[in-house]
Amino acid sequence: MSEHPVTLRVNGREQARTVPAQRLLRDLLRDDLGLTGTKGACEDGMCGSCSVHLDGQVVKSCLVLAVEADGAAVTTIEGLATAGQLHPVQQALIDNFGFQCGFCTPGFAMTMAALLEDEPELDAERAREALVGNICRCTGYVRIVASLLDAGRRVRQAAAPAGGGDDAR
Amino acid sequence: MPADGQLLGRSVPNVDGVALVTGQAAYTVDLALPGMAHGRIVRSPHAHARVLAVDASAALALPGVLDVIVPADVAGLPNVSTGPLLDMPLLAKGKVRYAGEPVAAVIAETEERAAEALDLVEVAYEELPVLLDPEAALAPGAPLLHEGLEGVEGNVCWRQVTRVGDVDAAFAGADLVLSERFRTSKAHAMPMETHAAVASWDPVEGAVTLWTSTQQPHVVRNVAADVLGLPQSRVRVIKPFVGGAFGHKEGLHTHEAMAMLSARRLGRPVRFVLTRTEEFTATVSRNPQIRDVEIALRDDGTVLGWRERIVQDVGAYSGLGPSVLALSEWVAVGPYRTPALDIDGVCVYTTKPPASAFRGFGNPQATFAREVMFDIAARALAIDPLEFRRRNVIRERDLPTRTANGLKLDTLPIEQAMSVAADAIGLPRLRAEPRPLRGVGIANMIEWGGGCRWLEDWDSDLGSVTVTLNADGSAVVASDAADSGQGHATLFMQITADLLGVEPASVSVVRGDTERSPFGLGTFGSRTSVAQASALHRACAELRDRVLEVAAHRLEAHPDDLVIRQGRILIEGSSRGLDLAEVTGMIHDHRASLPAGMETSALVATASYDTPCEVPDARGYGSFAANYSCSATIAVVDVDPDSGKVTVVDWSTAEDAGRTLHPDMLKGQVQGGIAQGIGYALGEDLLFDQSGTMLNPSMVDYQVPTAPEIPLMEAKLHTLESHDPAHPLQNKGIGESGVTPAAAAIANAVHDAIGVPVTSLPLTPEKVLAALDRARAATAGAGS
Repeated sequence: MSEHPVTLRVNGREQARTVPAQRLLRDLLRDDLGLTGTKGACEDGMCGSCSVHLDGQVVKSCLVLAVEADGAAVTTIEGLATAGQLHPVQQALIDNFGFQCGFCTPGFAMTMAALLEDEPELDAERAREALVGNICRCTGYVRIVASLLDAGRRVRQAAAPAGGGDDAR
Repeated sequence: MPADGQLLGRSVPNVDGVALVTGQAAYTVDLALPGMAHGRIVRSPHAHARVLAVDASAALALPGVLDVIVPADVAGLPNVSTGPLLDMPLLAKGKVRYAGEPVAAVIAETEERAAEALDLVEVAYEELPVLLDPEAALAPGAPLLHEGLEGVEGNVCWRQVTRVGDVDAAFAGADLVLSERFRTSKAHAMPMETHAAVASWDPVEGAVTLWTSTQQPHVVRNVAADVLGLPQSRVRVIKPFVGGAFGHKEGLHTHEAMAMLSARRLGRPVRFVLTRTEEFTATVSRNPQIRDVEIALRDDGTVLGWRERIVQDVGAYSGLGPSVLALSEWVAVGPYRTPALDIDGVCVYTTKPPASAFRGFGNPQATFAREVMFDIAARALAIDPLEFRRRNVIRERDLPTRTANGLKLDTLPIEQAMSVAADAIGLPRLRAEPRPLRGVGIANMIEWGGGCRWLEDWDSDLGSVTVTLNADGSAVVASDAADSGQGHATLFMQITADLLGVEPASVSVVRGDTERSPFGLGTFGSRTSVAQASALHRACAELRDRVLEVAAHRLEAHPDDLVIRQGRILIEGSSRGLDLAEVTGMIHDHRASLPAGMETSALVATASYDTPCEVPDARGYGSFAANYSCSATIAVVDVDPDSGKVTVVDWSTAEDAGRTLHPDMLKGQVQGGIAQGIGYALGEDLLFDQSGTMLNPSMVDYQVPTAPEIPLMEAKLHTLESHDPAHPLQNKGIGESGVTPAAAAIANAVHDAIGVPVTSLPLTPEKVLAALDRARAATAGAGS
């Protein structure tokens, strides 16, 4: 079984490991780096519990080989909050009770955070559609969608020039 | 900090929130102990076969393989079961009865190596006839699955009869008698976290510790002690965060036993994690039922009598199937006045993975048959379905009362629920502006909370809590409850802070640990907010009395005149008082401050709550649960005539909470249940080929709903406050209320949309297209 050196920047820190060719990025993160916030639940790319950011794009880390991530920057749920400040999607999930057991929550949070980078203006219909790649078995999604919309408001508010205000709803 | 009595009833932040949204929460699958080995289960590829020989030598020869446990190793150990029939061995005893059944366990240095070794365990099978149809399993001459097992006749492992009122007279006096056959599916709970367990053996103490994804730490401990031949004091079960359960994680499972046995054999920690494929092929599902219903009606829509014959397919092992059947009969009448019932049910073995508990526990099946039958009856009598129900529900003015089979109802706001649900969705407008292939469906239900007492020799319903009040005024709550996302820690914090006046942030809730918590049955059956929360209420009341006695002594006041508010103990109506922490400190440390004769002591109180309920008699009469809530649901669907696809476009539910303890978490429970019910209605079903091999054991093929399939119903969900006087917090269990009526409401909406009923779950596009063909044929026939 061939072993390959992999160097990647995870949550801002350089990490170097030697891994078998078929090692999944998810397993590198969980087992080699101890970043167990990234979950695995389906083994076939359906559930999105293992979603992370790879060079700024959200990916399902069970569908990416560790060697494919060589040289890349990876952000996991452990790196989403910065300087002790929760990311707006995390705060919105808390405030809207957008989780129950929490197992799918890191994957949703990563999907939502990446989405809001591109589409902070999304509406309810778009929010529902945009979450199609993540499965939650507890909440019925209603409050996850509400969290995403709320997080969008927070992101827009933060980006608005002082005194600009939000589109009050 | 809110004052005394101010946290309950408010949506305070979930105390686990930050841990859960930051990935800090550790689930069993996230644990790694030094020196940990990894186990996998060798499973039968055959649905029914004799096991002639198991040879582990080739597997053991593979480098990195540490141990293989074969059936001979566990032959002397007891069978395990969550139910009354001890029919399930830890590993196949002479026979396998479903494809996926555990035959051996392999333990290796890595998970990959254990997986590689699975195929090297050579098992010689002699295939036996497969039995997939429960009705065929009832036929004379059918192959037998459990020959010689006590309590089993043929393939029937349980009979349950409910017979109350004069059913023959009801049918003899009816204006109209209708009959229909209903079928429900083999839905899977599919919690996001698969089963996982880590065991560690302590050779010095001769004790095992098991970390496991479970709903019942103490029950697992007790069964494990039997299996391991250890006193219960030497088995410790710890429940980390659990990634969803829904009934799926009750009782002791083979992988847990294998983890403990191999940890003891190897002297190393061992972890087993079930794959998603194993979850589908080898863990429990909801019980599929065939329900043949006959209903006796008066012309005005009054339901006079109800007959049902139920064939329930429990699969290869009975698990909780018998109690699922019993409860399914006892709620068959729903929130209605139907005076006469005659229900005969059987549990039947087939060569499929076992069915057992899954959210709703027989109620979704019963509710589907009843509510769809009611719509068929309403249409036959040309009565609006809502009006039909209004004429039959238990009325506010009848309370307190009992249902025909004895369910004791102090409060049941079902009339109000129907009005609220209808208003929320705008029913008059929907009726006034019908659209082709859009349908509106109504379903009512009754749900139990706690209880589930059902056999004379199996009648405890215990929840227990220990509260420790420390010298500094902080509190620790340890209970047998096993949260899997419901938010128990938050609820327990609310109760403790409200009753003891402690700082909310200083309350620690033990997540699940048999050495820190008193014995109880765990979390299932919508019981925790009734059973364990009531126990917590008792324990807090005891500590409060002790604290107030000392405070009264110090303040020279009467304890009844004291209140605890924001960490202060005050004489009501005055500002004179003491800090709670002063008093807790005195009780621990300073005897001279205490009333004469009182010694210093630790402030610890343990209380149990065995919910007040009855074991139903031989006719099925009795109030088996702690209390009963109800709900009314209205679903709006669109049917695509070309594909047969059903889309849920709108939804309203009015839910009786008893008393709302946490509005947002309560609604979250209901919404999550509704989504599971939408999946149950529209697609979820485990499918098998002729050989008994499962066809869809993956998330790709077993499709649960995703966000776009669930309507945004938040504004149309309402909770009703009916304040049950029987329990200290006056609340009711609501954990299963979302899922229970959902499939019935959707089926009734489809019936409304296309004009003919679909009586078999799930409502697949194929079934809906066939129903559309029937509807067209009926229209054409009527026109010719």
